[in-house]
This record gives sequence, C-alpha cells and structure tokens, in this order.
Amino acid sequence: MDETWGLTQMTKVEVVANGDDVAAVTGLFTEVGARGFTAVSNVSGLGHSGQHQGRLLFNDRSSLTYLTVVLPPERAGVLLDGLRELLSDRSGVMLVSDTWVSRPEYFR
Amino acid sequence: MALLLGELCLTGAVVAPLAGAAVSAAGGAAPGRGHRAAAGLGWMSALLALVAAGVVGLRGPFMVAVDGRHGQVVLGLWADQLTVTLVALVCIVGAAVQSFSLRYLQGDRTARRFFAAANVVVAAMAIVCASATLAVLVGGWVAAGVAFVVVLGCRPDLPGVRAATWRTARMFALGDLGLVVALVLVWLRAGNVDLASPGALASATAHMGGLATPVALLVALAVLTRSAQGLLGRWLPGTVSAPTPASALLHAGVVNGGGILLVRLGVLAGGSMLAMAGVFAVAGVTAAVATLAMTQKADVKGALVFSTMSQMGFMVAECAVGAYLAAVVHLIGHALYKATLFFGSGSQVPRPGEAPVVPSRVMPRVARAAAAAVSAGATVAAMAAVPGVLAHRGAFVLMVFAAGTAATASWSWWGRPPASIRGAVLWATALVAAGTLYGLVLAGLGGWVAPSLPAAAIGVLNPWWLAAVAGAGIAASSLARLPWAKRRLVAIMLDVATPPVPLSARARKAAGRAIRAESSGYAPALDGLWQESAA
Amino acid sequence: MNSKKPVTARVRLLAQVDEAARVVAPLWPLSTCIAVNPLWDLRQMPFHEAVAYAGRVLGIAGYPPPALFAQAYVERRITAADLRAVLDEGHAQEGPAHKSIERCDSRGPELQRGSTAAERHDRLFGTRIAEAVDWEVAKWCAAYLAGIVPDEPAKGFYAAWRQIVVYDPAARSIVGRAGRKLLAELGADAEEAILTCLDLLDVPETNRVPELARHLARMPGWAGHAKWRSRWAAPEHPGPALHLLDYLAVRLSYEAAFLKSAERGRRLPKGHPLRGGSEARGCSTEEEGRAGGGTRRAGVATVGLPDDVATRLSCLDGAESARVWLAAYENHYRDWLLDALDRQQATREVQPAAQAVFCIDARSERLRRHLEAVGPYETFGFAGFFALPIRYRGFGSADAVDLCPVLIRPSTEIAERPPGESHSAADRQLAGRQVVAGARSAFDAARKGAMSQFLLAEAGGFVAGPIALAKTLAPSRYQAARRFVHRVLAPPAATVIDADPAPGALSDEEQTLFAEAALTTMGLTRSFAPVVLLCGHGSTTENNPYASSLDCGACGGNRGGPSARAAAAILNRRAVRRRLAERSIVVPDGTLFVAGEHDTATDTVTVLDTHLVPRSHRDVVAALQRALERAGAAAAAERRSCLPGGEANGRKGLPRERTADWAQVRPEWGLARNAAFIVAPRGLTAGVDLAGRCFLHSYDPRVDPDGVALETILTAPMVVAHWINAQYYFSTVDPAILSAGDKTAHNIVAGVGVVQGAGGDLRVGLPLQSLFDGERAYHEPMRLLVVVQAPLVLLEAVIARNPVLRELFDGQWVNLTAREDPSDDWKIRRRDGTWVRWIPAASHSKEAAVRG
Repeated sequence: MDETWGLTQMTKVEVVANGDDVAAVTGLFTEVGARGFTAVSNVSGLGHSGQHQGRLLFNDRSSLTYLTVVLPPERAGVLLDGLRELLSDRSGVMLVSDTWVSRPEYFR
Repeated sequence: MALLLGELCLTGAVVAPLAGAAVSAAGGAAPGRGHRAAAGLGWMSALLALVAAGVVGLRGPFMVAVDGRHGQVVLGLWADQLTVTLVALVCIVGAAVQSFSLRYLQGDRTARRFFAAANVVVAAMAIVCASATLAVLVGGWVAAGVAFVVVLGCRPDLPGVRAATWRTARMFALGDLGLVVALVLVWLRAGNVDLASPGALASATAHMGGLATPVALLVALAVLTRSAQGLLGRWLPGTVSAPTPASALLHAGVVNGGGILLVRLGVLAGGSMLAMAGVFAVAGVTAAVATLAMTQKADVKGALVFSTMSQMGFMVAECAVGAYLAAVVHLIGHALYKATLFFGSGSQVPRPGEAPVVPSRVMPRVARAAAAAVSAGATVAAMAAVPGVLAHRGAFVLMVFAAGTAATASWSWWGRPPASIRGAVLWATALVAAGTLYGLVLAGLGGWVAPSLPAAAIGVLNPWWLAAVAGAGIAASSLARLPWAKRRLVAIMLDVATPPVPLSARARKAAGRAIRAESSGYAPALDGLWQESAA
Repeated sequence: MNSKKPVTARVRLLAQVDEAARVVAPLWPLSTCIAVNPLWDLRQMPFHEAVAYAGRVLGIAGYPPPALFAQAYVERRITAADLRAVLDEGHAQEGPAHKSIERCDSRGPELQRGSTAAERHDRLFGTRIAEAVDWEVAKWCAAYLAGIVPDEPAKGFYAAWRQIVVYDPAARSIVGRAGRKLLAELGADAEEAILTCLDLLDVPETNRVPELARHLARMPGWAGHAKWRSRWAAPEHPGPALHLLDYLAVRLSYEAAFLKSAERGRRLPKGHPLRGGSEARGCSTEEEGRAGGGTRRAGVATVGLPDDVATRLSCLDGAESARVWLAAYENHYRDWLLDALDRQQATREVQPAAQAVFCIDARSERLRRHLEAVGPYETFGFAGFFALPIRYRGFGSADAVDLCPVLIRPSTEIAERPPGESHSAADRQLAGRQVVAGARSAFDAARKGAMSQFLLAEAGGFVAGPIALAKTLAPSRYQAARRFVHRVLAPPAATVIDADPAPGALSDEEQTLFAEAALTTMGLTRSFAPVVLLCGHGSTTENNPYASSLDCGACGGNRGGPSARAAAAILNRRAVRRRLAERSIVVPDGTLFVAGEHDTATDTVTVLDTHLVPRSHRDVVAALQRALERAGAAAAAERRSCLPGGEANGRKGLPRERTADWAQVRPEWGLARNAAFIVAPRGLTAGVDLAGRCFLHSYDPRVDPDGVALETILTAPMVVAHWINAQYYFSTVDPAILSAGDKTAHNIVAGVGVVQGAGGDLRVGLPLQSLFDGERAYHEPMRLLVVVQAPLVLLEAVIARNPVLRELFDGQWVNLTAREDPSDDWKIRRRDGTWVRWIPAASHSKEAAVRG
C-alpha cells in the first residue's frame, strides 16, 4: 500500500481517558515530541469498569475524551511506556495500530 | 481646682489600664463581660488623658508626685504637653486594640491572658511617657518589655510563637540590661534625676563627667533594641507568628518606645556626639536595608514588619539629629498608621473583576515629570503656607521629604491619568488638601508640644543628614534594578527578610504525623487508633 | 550529572508524578476559593481505604475523634439504638477489595508508608533536613508567586530558581559554596533534575511513586497550589505559574544537595539542620509505634452504653469502631430528616404571585422557607450559575470572571454594557472608579518608595487613625459613609447584560439550549407566575481573606448576581421564548424574569436591573421586594442565635453589623452544619425547618422521562455539594493538617493563600472559626446524604452509566436514599447497588426486641 500510494508508515495511538486525565495524557504526547493530536470530548461507551455516559452538561472532567496521536514508530515505544504507567490504575484504554500518512513531515 | 482635676485624670489614665488588667484577669477565659469592661476602662483612660491634656493647656504643666525626705521627687507623674500627648496616644492605641480583640479573639481561650498583659503594657508605656523620675521611667520600660513578652507568648500552640517569644525575651533582656546599668551609673553620680524640672537633665549630664558617653551608649543600646534597629532588631520578624492584635499593639505601642526614650531623656542621651552618631548610622542603614527588604517580602505582615523597622529607623535618626518635634509627630502618625494596617491585614486578596480597566492614555515622560514636579511644588507650598510649620529644627529637610512624597505619588498618578479633567482637578485638590492638613497637624502639634521638648544639644548632627537616609534608600533601590545586581540583591534580601526555621514547632509536624501534645482547644485530642486499618 | 536523560525515563517520570500527585488535592487561590474534597483523586478507592491510605501518607485523621462521639452520645445525638442498627447492618465488615494504588504491598511498614530520603536520614541521625528543605522551598515558592524572583525569560519556577539560588546566603550557610553550586547544576530542566536527584538518592524505580507522593504530602498547601496550576487552572491564567514538575524539581534538588552534604560529615554548629542530635532514637520509636499501629482497643469512653452494644464494640479495632460510630452519627440525622420529610403536610395548591429560583446553597433554605411563609410565593432550587457557563466582563473591568463550576470551562464571554446609545453615565462611573484605583496605586507607589514612605506613614496615620477608630467602634456607619463617598466619586449607572447573539457570543440556538436545560432540570416548565425571580448569591464581609469561600461555589467562588442577570436577559428574549415554545416549554408573554442577588451575610435580597422592569410588573416586583425584606429579617433573626456573640455583643452582634465589622472573624457561619442534598420537588420539603443544613435542588420527574435532568443534577451540583461537604468534614476532623488553622494568625502570601505566622506551608481547607465555636465543633462532620425522589429505574440507569457516581456511591463517599414518589417507602442504597427499605433505628430496635 505504502509504496504504490506514496504513503509513509506511522504508528497511531488512540487513548480513551477520563476528562480528569486528559491533561496528563496530552503532557505525555508533548514530552514524546508529538507534533499534534486530536481530541474528541464527551464520548460515551461501555467498558471494563462499566458504562460511560457521553455528554454531561456541566461536568467536563467526569466524561470521557477520545485522543488520537500519530508518531513515527521509533518514538511510539516511549509513549506506550508512559501511557502504560499512567493508565495502569485508572479506567482508560489505549489502542495501538499501524497507519499510513501522506505527509510524514507533519508528524516527525 | 483644675489642677486637682488634672492630677486625678492623669493618675486615672495610668491606673485605669491596671484596673482593666485586673478585671480581665478575673474574667472568664474567652472574651466576655470582663473584657468588655476592660476595653471600656481603656477608653476611659484615653478620655482621662485627653482631659489632662486640656488641663495642661489651660494651666500649664503639673506633677503628681510622692516627695522624698529632702523634698525631691521619689516617684510620680509629670504632665506637660509632650508627656500627656504621648500618654493619650498609648491609651488610645491600647483601647483600640482591646475593642478590636473583643470580636477578633472570640472563642480564644487565652484571651484573658492577652487582655491582662496588653493592659499592663499600656499602663507601663504610659508610665514611661509620663514618669517624673528616671528610676520610675526605667521601671516602666522594663515592665513594658516583660508584659509584651507575655502578650507574645499567649498562644504557644501557634507555629513559631515559642521561638519568637524566646528570641524577643533575650533581646529585650539585653537592651533593658543596658538601660538598667545606665540608671545605676546615673544614680551613683547624680541620684534619681527629676525629669520634670528644666535643667535637671543637663545638670545630671554635667555630674556624669566622663561617664556621660558610656551612659549615652547604654541608652542607645536600649533604644536600638526596643525599636528593632540593626542586628538588635532580629526579633521583630518572628513576631508575626502571634495573632494580629498582638502585632498591632507591638507596632503601634511598643516599638516607638525607643523614640519616646530618646525624647524624654533629652541631653542625657543626646548630648554625646559619639552615641548619637552611632545611633544615626545604625538607624540610617536599617532604614535603607529594611526598605529594600520590605519589597522582597511575599507576605503581607512580613512586609509591614520591615516597613516598621524602616520607619523606626527614620524616627530614631530624627532624634539623633535633634529634630525632636519631627520625631514625635512621626511617632504618633506612624503608630496610628501601622495599627490600621495590621488590623486590616486580611483585606489584601484581590478579587477578579473588581479592578477597573487602566486608562489607555499614557503621558509622555517629560510631561509626566513636569506634572509631578508641579504637584510636588503645590503640596509643599500648601504645607509651607501654614504658619508655624517652619519653626522647628529640621523643618526644611521635612519639606524636601514632603516634596519627594508628593512627587512619587504624582509620578505614579500621572502615568495613566483618567480621561476626564475632573480627575486631574480631584488629584490636585487632594494633594493641596493633604499638604495643608499635614501642615496644620505639624504646626498645631508642634506649637502644642514644642515648649516641653528638649533643646538639641550643641554639636549634634545636622538635620540635613536625614536626607542621607533617603539617599541611601534610593541608592539601594536603584542598585536593585540593575540587571547584574538584581538577582544577588534579591537573594540576599530574601534571606535577610526570612526568619530562621522555627524548628521546635515544625519538628512536631515532621514525618507526617502531628504529635499534638499541647491542646489549644482547637485541636481535638487525636486518638491514633483511628488510623490503622489492615496493619 | 549533566548527561541528558533518555526520553523513556522522562515520559515514565511524568506518569509517575501524576500518580504521586493523587494524594494531594488542588488548592485554588484565595481570589476564587473553592471547597474541594481533599481526597478527591483517591475516590477510586472506597472511603475507608482512601482515609487509611491518606492516614499513612499524609498523616491525617480520617474520622472524628472519640471525644466528639462521646459528647454526641451524652447529648443523645447518637443513641444506643443507632449503634445497634449499624452493628446489625454489618457496617464493620470490609467491602469488596477495590483497586488500590499501593504498588509495593508486602515490604516493611516504612516503605509502605513512603518516606522521603530526608525523613529517613532524620530518623536515623536526628538531623532536621526535612524541615530545612520544607522551609527553603516554601520561601522560594512564596517569593516566586509574589513576583520577587526575576523570571526573564519566563521559563517557570525551576529555571528562575536555578538562576537565583547560586546567590542565596541561606543555601551557602547550610551546604557551603560548593554545595550551592551543585544545587543549580542538577538538571537543565525540571524532569532532568528530578531524575538526577532520584538517582543520587538511590531511589529504585519501584519506590518512586511513594517517595514522590510523600514529597508532595509534606506540604499539601504548596503541592496543592502546584497541582491546581498544572491540572485545573486555565493555561492562560495570569500570574507566575508554579507547576508541579518544577516544584518537585526544586524540592528534590534541595534534598539531594543537603543529604550529599550531610554525608560528607562537616563540623557544624549547634542547631544546624544537618547536624545530628540525640533525639534520633526517640523520634523513630515513636513513629514506628504509630506507623506500625497497635492493636490497642479503642474506646470511645462512654458510660451508659448498654452491655450488648458495648461488648460488640469492644470486639472491633480502632478503625472499625470509628466507622460504626460515624455511621451511627450519620444515620441518626438521616432518620430525623426522613421522618421530618414524611411528616410534613401537603402544601396548598395556590397560584403563586411570583416564583423565585434560588441557588442550591444550604443558606438559601432559610430564606426560601420564610418567603413561602410570608406570601403566596413558590421557590425553586437550581445551581447558582443558572446553566450558563460564561465568562463575565463587567463594564470597564480589567479582567473577566469565570462564572461556572470549576468542573467545566466557560464557553463564551458575556459583557455588561450601558443601556441604549448614550454612555455618559456609565463613562462617568468608570472615570470615578479609575480615579479611585489610580489614587490607590499612587498610594502604593509612595508607600514603597525609599524617600516617600516616611512622610506618607506620618500623614497617612493622622487620616488612618480616625478611620480605624470609626471602623472599630461604629462599623456599619463607617461602611455607609464609605459607600456614600464612593457613590459621589463614581455615581452608579444603569447597565444591562448584552445577550444579543453576535459572532463569538451565544447564538439563539445555544441560548435556547441552556434555557431549556435550566427550566427542565428545575422542573419549571409550566404554570409560570407573572414574575420569576432568578436569585444568585454572594456574601459581603470585611477584612476576610476567605471572602471568596462564602460566595457562590457554583459560580466559581464569585458573586452570582451577573449570572442571574444574564439568565434573566436570555429568558426574556422573544427569540428564545419562541424556540422554547417549539420545544413545548411555553412561557406566557406576561411572565417577566427578574434577576436578584441574595447577600447571605445580611440575608438581604437586592433586585437587580430594576430599570428593565416594565410598568406593568412594577407592583408585583415591589411587593416581592417587600416580602423578601420581611423574609430576610426573619432568617437573619433565626441565624443570630447561632452566631457566637450574636446575643451578647449587643448591636455589634446583629448580622448587619457583623458584615461591616473588620474585627469580626465569623461574620456568618457559611455552610457549616451542611448535611444533605435533596433532589425533589419543593413539595417534599416545603414548610420543613431544615435549619439551613440542606442543599435543595428542585426536580420534577414528570418532565424528565429520560433521566437527563437527574443525571445533570447528580453529576454536577451534587459533586459540588459533595466537595463542600467533604471539605467541611475533613477540616473539622483533622484541623491540624486539613484546616487553615486559627484566622487570627493568618498571613496572606502573594495574594494566593495564607500561611500561619512567618512562612511555611500554605494552609488548605477552611479556617477554624468557620468550623468550631470555641473548642466545640459547630459543624457536624458527616458524609453528604443525598435524598432523591425519582423513579428508581431512572436513578439506577443514571448511576450505571456514570463512573463518577459509581465511585461516590459504591465507595460510600456519599450516602444515597431514594423513593419513587410520596406514597413509596424510603430506600437506602447499599454499596453493592441493592436497595433496602429504610427502617428508623428506634423502631429497628423494637423490631429486634420483638423478634428476639
């Protein structure tokens, strides 16, 4: 896929975390050197610790946020270490996958 | 008849706080009826002092005394314009502190001790202000120190109080020892000096002969300790650990004891060029350093402490150059000022949304300087226009200081003037009014007190030396603005301004478990057993 | 030491710091003082576990002292029946184990506690390094926040400190010149410094979290401030930013340098912190004794406990016994409350002349009760920000205020502007305010000037003296005079809140959304009265550093008047009403929304924006104002008897005088004695004298079929109420660490917090004067009781889909009681989610006696 379509392989890390922990997670992203990330707040879902409501009108910190960051594969390992530590005792999940991007300079 | 009234009032003004002390000691623990009665007695003493002042104004100075075998005064109170004004000041400050404490110390189990000791401080300081003989004055001085240490130590459960009390007690002991030795020396040569009769001090000084200088130096030691100057003032920063009314009493009633002592002892202390030069040097340096330290304090009360050190330095310097009237006016004004600031020290939290937007118009620097100069000139002119303002020693130096004050304030004001002409008019009016009022106070108080002030000794420092104090302060602040010196000065000043770790109190908080041995009534006895769970 | 640390270590460190910071709670600055649960970030653990953990790390007491329970038993605030009921319930058993954040579980008690290296050294050698580190760090934190430490270019606390500590005489006196140089070279930035120091101190990877946690726990005030700044404050918040990593870097640098210097064994003068002493042994055995914990039997030493209860209690150890007593204490109140709610008569169905919406604040309860008694008025309870998360900018104000709970960030800015086209009155007022502000700053400049300070003090004293006397002897008269002067200088001008949709402001659709949310959540969707008063609240006090803690917590610690005005402006707009009608909320044309502000210190209500009231409604509004005056006077009289010195101090004891009195340490009790949060229609609580102890939120299940309104109430206002209740609870239970201490010794630092005395840690929590009356606790330390009248199916669904509610209810941070409707029995929710019928303790005993 990548050679014929002119895409470069990167690692995508998706994190679903509590509103409370978003600041810590984005801090990790910045520390690893990620150039940017996407955050979608007030998502709902069902998880290992029970159900999660999405939009809470007056509480940003107890609802879930979905964050996505794309990194070069060599740096992803470091981020995963930190995320593993951070999410070890809280409710939150981390999904890692390969992805291909067309503008690698945006993510290096 | 009027004289009898005056004598009664004067005695009452000094005795009423003692009665207040007795009443509050007998009262209940927390502020209650007994303490309200004590506060009432405090106001009564202030009123009596004012009535005595009226009598002095009508009939001239008088004395309430117990005479000795040879007709000289053994112990008694002397009322002239100066002493009765100082007694009135001390009583008003004491009464205000007590009225404030009635509500402020609500629920405080040690309030009884506080009220009793504070009343003793007031009575002792009143005796210092109005005593007729040297021995009584020194006795009152020492009693004021001891009573104040009791006031400080009322709340040993608060962090840092124990250490601060010990430190204060040690330094007071040092200074008071000097004063007592001076008294002994004077007694040996000249007997119990009668502070009331004119010339008694001068003749006593003449009797001292070679010992005049050591006596003056010992008095200087006491003055510098009580007014927290130089290295002898290291006790003052720790006193912020005590509750606010104790600080208010200290800064308004006790630290100005140094100035009072110098003014009352006149030529006994002021005659020695060496002593006065030494006092001036220490006070001047303290004023400059404390000004710098004041700006490096992050906490409100700490900044007030260093401000007091600086102000007391200025006052003692004024005494050292013989500008006694200026010193007395400064003493009175500063006491009221500091008491107000300490009482109101809880209102320094800025709330968002309250401050109005800064006016956008900025005046160019030249125009700003010109406007400041004009404002300063107007203020000084208004001051000088009041008759009698320039009639005392050091008046012209004070004019310069007044000009400086008005210029500083105006420079800040004209930096961002409000848009309307109304604001400018208001500012000019306010300055002229302030100048006139200050001039009236100076002239009025000066005219009233001047006959009873000691004359400046020959050969004492020139009043223009006071400008050097300001100069030193300005030099230090300018130095602190230079980039290469800034960090060094900030670090040094921060260290000077920070009291040492109050280790005894903190040791108890260490390791995360408070060992609450003493109970202040607020810390319920802790049963450590609530803590352990699956241990 | 200068080698760059690998990114892996840095990233892991960030996660470890975040984990360690769970043990402290954020500490808001005094300008917007927010009450917060000190153990909020430990809420994933059940209450008892969290309290035990905090007891080990922070050293706090988590339960009220035995003396309080003994006194309560004597006063029959707890009865033997209560204790019996609790013991029967089996409260003493441990609940199912939840995740604990303890990682190293089976090491010795010392490691389990987590201690800093300095503490271990102190214990072994009798040095005082830990205190010296605390003192120095506190000194720099205060100086940095006050802007004293030069911070150019603005790189943060650690960078600024590094540059200045090389000149610090205090550091030189402790560690010498070489040590001082070492201090500044431990790392180029904060993370590197922390990692270097942890290596120097030989802290293995597994111990890092407990060690860092203990570092933060040593000074919960400064750590709390740093945590607030890093995790809760808006990034653009003005002022020097003291971040968590920088704070830890400075602390660890000092610790590493001091310990390394102590190891070198220099000759030190007596009293030097690095010099060992002989108290070493004593300290350690005492601490071991506490840390290890004895299994000594606790006794709440009471006489008169029936034998069966006493026997059963004596089988329990200290913590379990405390749990039983606490539960009995809480259940006694619950029994009283539910009984009172059951017994109250049905309210009369009369068309109200006006409706009033007050904040859920417990202090509104008194006013609402009296208002309903003086006239045909209906009251509602809703969070004081009226569903508008806005940033408010007053006319001519330099900065904007966030008027919403701290759980959310404001979405838009709303401004105040003069009505109509002409600005002259408002401009004149602004010019007057600028004059006053300019004079104040000129005075400050002169006060600090080297030459000008002397005569200013003199001259100022002669003006300040009479002012001080007036303020002390006749406070309310002085306040009236000051207000008069201010009115002369800056004449008040009418303004309106700008609610028109514009780019960047709230659109019509958004306004409708918020309006609908407010009305539906309250249950006010039909039968509107001609006038609906939206009443925010604030508190006027004098010389009070904690003034913000008495204002509205739902408005972020600010006064609620502007929120009410904005809400009224929005609800009066025709465009909004049209859209509301489309959503079947029909507001009649004749209904007018009016804004007001309740001053909780004096119990007076001011109707705001009276110039916007049309002639048709003036009479009703005037009648409402008169009724509010009467109701307020009655509420103030009721409060007066509770205020210490209220009766005794004569005139100065009147609430009106207290608010103007600068010597008054306790102008009002605030939210002391708060106990319950009731979510139900007003019909449930109308007429019941709740003594100002309950948060009342209106809720009508008939207009809330999906439970969205119930969810909104439970996930935001209830969390705020829980925070307030937990703050009061912990400050009462452990005043030494979790309260702000005695107000009389408070010293404001950098405008953000208070210290006691000359320096040291910032104080967290509430001052003693807000909690205690002399020695006796005025506030009853209990966990919040949430009472809900709603379909249980809905309630359970809401709880199931919100983890925060599961944490609070399952973990027993909050007690939940509910019933379907007035005809149903009250049910209590157990920690496993099941409901059990409520039986009052008194009849429980009778039943047990009958049965057995």
